[in-house]
Amino acid sequence: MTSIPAARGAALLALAGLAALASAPAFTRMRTPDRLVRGPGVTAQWRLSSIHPALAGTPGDTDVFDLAGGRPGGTLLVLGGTHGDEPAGYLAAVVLVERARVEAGRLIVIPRANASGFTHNVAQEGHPQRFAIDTPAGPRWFTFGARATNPVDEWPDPLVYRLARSGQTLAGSERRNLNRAYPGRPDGRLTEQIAHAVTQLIVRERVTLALDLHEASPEYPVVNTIVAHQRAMDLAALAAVRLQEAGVEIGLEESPRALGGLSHREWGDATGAYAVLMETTSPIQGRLRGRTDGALAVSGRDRFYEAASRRNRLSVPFGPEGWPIAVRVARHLAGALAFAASLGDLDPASAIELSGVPGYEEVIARGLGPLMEPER
Amino acid sequence: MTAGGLPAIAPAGWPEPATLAVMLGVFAALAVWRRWPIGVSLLAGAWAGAAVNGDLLPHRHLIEGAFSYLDPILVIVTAMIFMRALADGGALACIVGAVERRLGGRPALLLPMLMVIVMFPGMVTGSSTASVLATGTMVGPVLVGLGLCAERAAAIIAMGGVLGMIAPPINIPAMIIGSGIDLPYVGFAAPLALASFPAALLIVYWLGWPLLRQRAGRAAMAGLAGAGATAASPFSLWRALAAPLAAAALMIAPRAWPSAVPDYGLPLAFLISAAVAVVVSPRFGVVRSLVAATEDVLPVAGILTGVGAFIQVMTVTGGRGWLVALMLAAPAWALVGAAAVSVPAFGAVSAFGSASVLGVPFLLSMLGRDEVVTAAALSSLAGLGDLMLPAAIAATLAARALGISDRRRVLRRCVLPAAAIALVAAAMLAWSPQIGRWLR
Repeated sequence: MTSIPAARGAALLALAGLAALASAPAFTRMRTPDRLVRGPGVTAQWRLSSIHPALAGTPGDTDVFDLAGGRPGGTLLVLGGTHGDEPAGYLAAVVLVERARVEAGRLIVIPRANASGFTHNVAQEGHPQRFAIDTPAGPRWFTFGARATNPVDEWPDPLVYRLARSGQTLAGSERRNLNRAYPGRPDGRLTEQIAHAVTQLIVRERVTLALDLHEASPEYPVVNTIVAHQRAMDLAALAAVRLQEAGVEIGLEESPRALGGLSHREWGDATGAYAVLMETTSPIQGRLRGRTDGALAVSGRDRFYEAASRRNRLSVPFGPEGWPIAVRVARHLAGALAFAASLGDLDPASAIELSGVPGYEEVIARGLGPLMEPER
Repeated sequence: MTAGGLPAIAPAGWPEPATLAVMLGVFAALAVWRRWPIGVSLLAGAWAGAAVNGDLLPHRHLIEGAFSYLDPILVIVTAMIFMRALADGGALACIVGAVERRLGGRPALLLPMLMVIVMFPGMVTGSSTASVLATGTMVGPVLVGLGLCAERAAAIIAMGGVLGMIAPPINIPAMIIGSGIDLPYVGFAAPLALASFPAALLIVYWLGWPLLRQRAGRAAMAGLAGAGATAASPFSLWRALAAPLAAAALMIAPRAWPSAVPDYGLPLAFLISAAVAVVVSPRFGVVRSLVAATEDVLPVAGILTGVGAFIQVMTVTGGRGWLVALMLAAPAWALVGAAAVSVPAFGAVSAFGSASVLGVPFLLSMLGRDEVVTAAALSSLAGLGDLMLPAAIAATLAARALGISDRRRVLRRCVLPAAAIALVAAAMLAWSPQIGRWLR
């Protein structure tokens, strides 16, 4: 290591200051949330803080969209944006808010479950800050966030995170991961409070089925799969059959009992709801991806993943067509429809009838853009 | 990258490795040829990588990447302040003198004991940095005072830090690798102990061999940096130990009683302990010590800042993915060798980063064997990353603790011990099913 003269050091310091100032707008812009459109089926819109008032005014508060039907039935909760860097779950929730109508039962949608995760990106991942979906009226931009709560909102991380309920230990940064924080704590750190609010929402609103939408890398073993709490396995099996009939290849796994903090485990244990998580696959989540930008988030094409697939290193097939966002969102929407229909099969009193939600084939055929409202 | 509106000039066929070559070339040219500081050279390499991809103003990525290691930098700065307070206040000399008087004549007993002391902070925090910084200035002078050369003493501290990070109960790379496949952090104690404790004993005797052979420790005491230690000290030993004990308590308590004691992080633990050292010591120039401690860590902080920006641009431009894909392209029989080389090498930029970026894919490619033993072995390889250039954080900080200006002199002493750890890990990877059965 060598020292540098004072004048050159001062120049470097000034350069660093300029770079920091020049980049500031890019970071602060992420604090303005995407504008979502209330669709015709939305009957009420409220904030998560109405469940847990301590969240009011914090970066963890988020919009909750309520779509109530004319006839009685079950209640379906759909969570998108648990992880801000998994756009298919977020966009599927947005499509539900903008297009779904509920004929029977009730649908509650939280598109940005961890709103703080949408205000930053994970350092060294080089993710885009936003990506565009081409609608007939032009591109509509969405935020590409991070897996965990913004460290500006919750800091410092402990070196080791010990889950409050199970005592299980995880790497410290996982304390900011909403899907490791359930059932949450009312007096915990921000992420634990968000988790607590979601769990209480399930209890208070008597949710019949809670569905958490995710994406994972193509090398991850639990991918293109439904993970269900043991009480929800019959329901999930019915939904999986429906999905297979619709042409959606999907696996089914029971939620491991040894893994604490996860939605499909803790919601099922702590509430009366059927708890289910769905995973699609996306190369921008993975470690083998090449150039990383907004185009990759949308196209889902990557030549390194193609090569890895030829060597049988992946959990899903990966061809030149990749895994485009339309396919990934279509899988989640088809999943929501299949679960809603299957609830009625198990218990007619809990039936949920949805209309206006595009089916799997329709999303694939038309693409995602024509199904979304234009940028406003 | 699109900013600047310039066309990318990286070749169309192989843009990722070509970009990586440009980045490494610029870094090496500036660091080696122009003798620029390593951190600044890394930043320049990162900028060059973005520029050949058409982004002349990649400030968002440079800033975002540069903040990757903010937490480790805070740990290092505050730990250095703690160390300075111990040394400048005189507590350190008192402790060193006491240890030398009681155990200096029995190096066969003293060496393993000192190794455990060095490893302990890493074992409870999962951080080699914490180990080296918390114990380096205490254990290093003891070893030098007994007659060991400074390079060997620093190597023992650096290796102890890395082994403490690997050893149970807390191994963060293992947690990161396990979480990549939803493997709970359960059942890791035995394989991690196997990967660390036998190697620790072997390494401390190997590096401390001159002491075992000559038994000349006491005679060499005259040259001890803290020479005043053997003379009348202004301290009682317990008073001198107040600050180190406070540091140990602040590190252990949140882990031992997580529901009762909040964990506010290592920086606060080190600052409180430094304050304790100031209170129990005779008056000394606290401001001068603070400035000196900050100056000591600036080069290391610069390297970590540069490394963060470098990795960020490497990821954006696809170089990181190309490297990972290259490693995983190895045939099944060569996977163990590929892991033994690439996981520590990538750990050069961050042991935790290597665990996530390479450790998880390697574990996935070895599924169906014993996943716990495999993850433990991979975490051990990732831990070795703290000895790899350009950051070589464990060796760099150990060299600083011993006042060695050229860290390569320490790194040379670490080569064989690190190879021994890598061999143990490779054997665990190769025979993970058998080792798993044996351990249970």
